[in-house]
Amino acid sequence: MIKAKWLGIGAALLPLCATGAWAVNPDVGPGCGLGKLAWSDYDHPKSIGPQVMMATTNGTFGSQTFGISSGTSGCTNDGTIFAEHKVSIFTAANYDSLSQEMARGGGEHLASLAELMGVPQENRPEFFALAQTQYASLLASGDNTPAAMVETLQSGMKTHPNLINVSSK
Amino acid sequence: MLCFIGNAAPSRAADVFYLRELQQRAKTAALHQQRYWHLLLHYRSTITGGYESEADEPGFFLAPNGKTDPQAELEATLSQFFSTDPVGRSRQPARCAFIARYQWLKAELAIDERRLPDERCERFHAWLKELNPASMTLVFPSAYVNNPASMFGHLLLRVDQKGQTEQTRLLAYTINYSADVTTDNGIVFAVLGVAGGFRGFFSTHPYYIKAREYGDFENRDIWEYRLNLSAEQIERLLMHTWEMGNASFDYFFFKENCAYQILSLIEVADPDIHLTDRFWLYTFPSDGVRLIAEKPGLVKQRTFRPSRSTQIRRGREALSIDERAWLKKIVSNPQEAGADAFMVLPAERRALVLDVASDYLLYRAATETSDTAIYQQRNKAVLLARSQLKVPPRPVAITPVTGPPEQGHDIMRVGLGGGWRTGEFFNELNFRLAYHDLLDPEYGYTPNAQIEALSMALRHYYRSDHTRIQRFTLVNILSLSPMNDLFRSPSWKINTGYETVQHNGCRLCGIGYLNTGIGAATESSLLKREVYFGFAELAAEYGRVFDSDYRIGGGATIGTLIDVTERWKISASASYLQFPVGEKSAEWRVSAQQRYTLHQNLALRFDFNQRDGAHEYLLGLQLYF
Repeated sequence: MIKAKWLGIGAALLPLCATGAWAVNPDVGPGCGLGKLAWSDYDHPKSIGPQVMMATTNGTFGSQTFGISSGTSGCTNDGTIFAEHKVSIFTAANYDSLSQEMARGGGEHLASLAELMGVPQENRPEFFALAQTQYASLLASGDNTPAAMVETLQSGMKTHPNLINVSSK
Repeated sequence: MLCFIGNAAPSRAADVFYLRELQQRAKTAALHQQRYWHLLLHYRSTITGGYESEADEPGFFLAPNGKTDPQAELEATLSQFFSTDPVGRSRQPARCAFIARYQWLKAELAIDERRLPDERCERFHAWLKELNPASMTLVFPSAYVNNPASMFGHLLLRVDQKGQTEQTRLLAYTINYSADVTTDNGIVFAVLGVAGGFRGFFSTHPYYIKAREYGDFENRDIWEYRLNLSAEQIERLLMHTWEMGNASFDYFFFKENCAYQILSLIEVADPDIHLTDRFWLYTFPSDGVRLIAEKPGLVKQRTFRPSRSTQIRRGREALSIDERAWLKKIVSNPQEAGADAFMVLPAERRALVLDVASDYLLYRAATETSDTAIYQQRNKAVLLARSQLKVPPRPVAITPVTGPPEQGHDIMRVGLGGGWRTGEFFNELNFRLAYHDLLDPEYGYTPNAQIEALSMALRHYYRSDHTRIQRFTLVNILSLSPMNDLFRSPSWKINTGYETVQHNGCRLCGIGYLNTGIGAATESSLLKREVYFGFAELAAEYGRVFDSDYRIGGGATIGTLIDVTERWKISASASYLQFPVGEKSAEWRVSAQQRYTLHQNLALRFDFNQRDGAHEYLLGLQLYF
């Protein structure tokens, strides 16, 4: 990172705004690439460079990919996300923030997840409280995957009188 | 693929007849000369009086000479509308691939649906339904000096959804324009970037991806501007965005960059707004925000979205000294969160400490190259303790560290002043192309970050009746990162250019120089805000004035920056440099400068510099424009 920085400055020419990615990404191209971002080792981000790279260049889901058959599951050729993948992609992309907000019992990521899971507005406070309680069991499970996070929330909802109907959707 | 484009003449006699009629009507109405057609095709008038499109992908045009001929392109477009053959990169019938062109021409020419039926364009409609647009927001991730690719900020659009709340804006899609960078070599990157060697594409990531990238990984604060656009304008903008799926552009860092292309979409939404023609040399993202903000009624609402590091800083500021000590202990050993002495604090205060601790551990995990697993592990322990506290998360309102970008000074600067240098009066005229130095009014700019490019000072000395270029700065970057319990980033600087020195008996001698250093900074708030810094540095200088024409060495600088009041700022620094290579010499440099802000775009400066026995005082007025 530092090396790249000095290299860039050494060139003494400054781009006026973000330019996709700083580092090379050999497989820019077909597919929405989000899968690589979402299920890559989110747990061990190596540095800003690669993370940003994955989030931008690799995540080329957008009008750029029109008409190119998608090599990655999760999103359409036209850069939108298939409905059935929304929860898993969102959870994977925001795992750290969601962990924090589960432990805190609220926040915008958790509210957005509630929206995707179809939790009605009036049940959000209960959902937040449930998420906070479930955090300890998520940690105890030792499973760091986004799938486990969703699973933990859903199993909690199944035993909650006001959220049981949501989880069965 | 190109072979049928332009040759897609309809075969049915009725179609041929209707096409001719439409082409004739378009010609009579001179539609190819209308601004909206030029906006859709990204035509710019050329010096020779013709037109050329900024789009660089052949599939974006339906006439072989469409890039330079708006009329031929319009006629070919009408012709292609009679075909359902897929065109462009997106491989759709022309009426869908270029749906904004079709809808506009259909309205302008009153195209009869019985004679040219609409296409269903299912892909477009599915896409639009998924975006679920209610309004548009211009998003400005602020400058981040520690990444060369984002030193001046970025611009993108967010498509706000129907039924979206402050909490769920993360789920909205964004429209982003960026270069497809194909090298990791810094020099090649810079050269290709300036020369247009990369291709730029539009893409539509969900906002949560962008918010994470800018807010969590790059720690850039984000300003959001909800735009006052009608449903019809939003639809036009999105139809054109859809067309952009067929386009790519040569990406020029300075002008045809993200800000330029994002503004071009807003022009399509409202052709009466002129944005991109305001730029001739470069397009700064912050200038884009300024343009939008100064249009009366265009911005409905401005929202600040703090980066993770701003949340940590503000969170830490909200803690007492005792609580900060706990914070420091807990981030290095989360078990401290269970200590009896910590447990006696009220639950709300403990929650606050743990929330900052968790943000900080994630910040370290995201920004460091090693030990990330350790930070993740500690974060889990902190969060486990936090989940036991049934206290709501802290309120979201966080004061920004600086003002919104449109309220900062303008980017170019010109200064006029007079002074005295070792027994002689002089006048000075100076000009700086961009962007901000540490003494410029800081409001609206990232604090502690200086980027100057292409700055020049012209002087006339009276006694010797001598006019000269006193100095020329190619680039001068200085990034100060004040350290505290939590933050430990180094400060750094690089400065290169030409300046005038007094040396070896020559009173006014020009030299070329390169100076770079790495150091540390800290800050206090005794008056308003004070920053103290120190650098270890390397210097190389070249000039006839030196024995053997050059000298290379190193040394140290210490200094301080003091915001005495909102308007008044002082800086002072002292350096000692020793040159063992080339001309063996050593020298002290002392400088003291003051700025008083008269207005957003007007400031008074008083500088004192001493170097190698030459003293200099300069009083000047600086105007930003």
